[in-house]
Amino acid sequence: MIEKQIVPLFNTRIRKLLEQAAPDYESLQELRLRIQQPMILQQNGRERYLTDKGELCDNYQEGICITAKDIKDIVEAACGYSGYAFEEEISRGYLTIAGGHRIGLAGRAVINENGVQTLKYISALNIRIAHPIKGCGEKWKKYIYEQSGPCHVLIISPPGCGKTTLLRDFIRMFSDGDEYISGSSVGVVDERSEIAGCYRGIPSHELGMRTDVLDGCPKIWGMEMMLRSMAPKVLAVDEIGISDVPAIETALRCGCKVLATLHGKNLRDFQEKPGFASLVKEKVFERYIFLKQGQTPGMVTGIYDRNFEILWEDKACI
Amino acid sequence: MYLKIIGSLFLMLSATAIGFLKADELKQRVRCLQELKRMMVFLQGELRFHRASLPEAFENVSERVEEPFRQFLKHLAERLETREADRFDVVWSEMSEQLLQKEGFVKEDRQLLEMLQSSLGYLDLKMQTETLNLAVLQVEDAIRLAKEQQTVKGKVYQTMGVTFGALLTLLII
Repeated sequence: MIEKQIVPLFNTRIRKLLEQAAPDYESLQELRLRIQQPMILQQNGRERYLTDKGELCDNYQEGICITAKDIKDIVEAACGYSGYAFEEEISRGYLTIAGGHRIGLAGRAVINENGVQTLKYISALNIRIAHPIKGCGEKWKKYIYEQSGPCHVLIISPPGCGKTTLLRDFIRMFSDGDEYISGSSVGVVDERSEIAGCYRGIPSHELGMRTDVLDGCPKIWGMEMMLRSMAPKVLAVDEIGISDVPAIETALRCGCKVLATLHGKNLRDFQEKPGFASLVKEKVFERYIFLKQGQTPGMVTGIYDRNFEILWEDKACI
Repeated sequence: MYLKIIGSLFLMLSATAIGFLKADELKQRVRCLQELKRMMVFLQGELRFHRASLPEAFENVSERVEEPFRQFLKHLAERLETREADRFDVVWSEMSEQLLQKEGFVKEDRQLLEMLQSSLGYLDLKMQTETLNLAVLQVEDAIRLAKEQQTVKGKVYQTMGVTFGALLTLLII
């Protein structure tokens, strides 16, 4: 399935080589392409290079050299040959394709009075493969529920540790419920189409039967829209920033539970994060879940309650 | 004698039918161009209102237009989705060639389709809508010319068919 979503992105030259090399797409984490540099396939934390013989090797000197045309072709294909329809995404530096895979872009920014208008001379791409892992959050179920129902949960980790993967599974769990806990309606504000991986409005990932997705909408507007239009019991958002804090506070006042993720290293890092002081001081979140980079995404290092008391901790990380 | 009369009647009817068929071709061309205009207007709407990508817009519009544009757009969307070729203009050009073989098109229509081939998908939304606007204007011109031809030539073909049939009959008898 992943192969069918990823391979057609490439032009004939690279597509042929990839088809010959046939990498294991299930373990593929990302593909990095930079102009005049070898194409890198990140697999299980290991870098491999695609050769002109259609093989994968460990020596970067044997890797095929990516050209400006290769990059241009990939961006055009990812946009469905319709750059105008993806102006917003390109100006934010990413594109999301069918399957929820995200293509990060780097190039020269064209600035106008409103900020970044677009990117030109795109010189590097990072194709991040989405791997939904159904059930990866089951182990932590007892920590994210209280007697009254779901808790306000904040998942914190550096990039690439599986925050979105875990968030996705928590959404599914909250939405479906189980034999002991009834399911809740969940509203997902998926600004970057990464949580649900919506393609033409249909989620590519399983988010549960009571989940509504607002796709491609900035969180700051989307959270309020969701609250007004769909009245969810749980509101889920990915990678919150300082600008989203007022919207989160509004959601909290509406009696809605918030499930969110945030970039951060550890508890201290979060507590000292500028702009989040009000959330820390008011002890808004009832559970803080920290992740680390590991063999599989979503490896939890510690779970804390609203008073930052340890509920669970990975002994190996102490 | 009977054979002569039957043969003459057959010739007369055939010549008249040919005349009417030629006149119908002109009518068909007007219908075809009107449908092409409808297709362009719908595409404009899809792009402007939904900000749909080209494959998505082609697929949506294919459900609202008549043949031969329905199949043209449907196949175009499919080929773009599967990314058979590296470039949009290659796919569009190949599909246009197939479309131009169909009834109702003339050589000059190639220009109308080629104009979209090089501009669709290029740059921003304004560029797309302006390109389609221009194309619609050109199609309107083509429709006007085709209608004029239909009025003038249509009657000529019909009259010629009947006259030629009658002439042949007279010659045979």
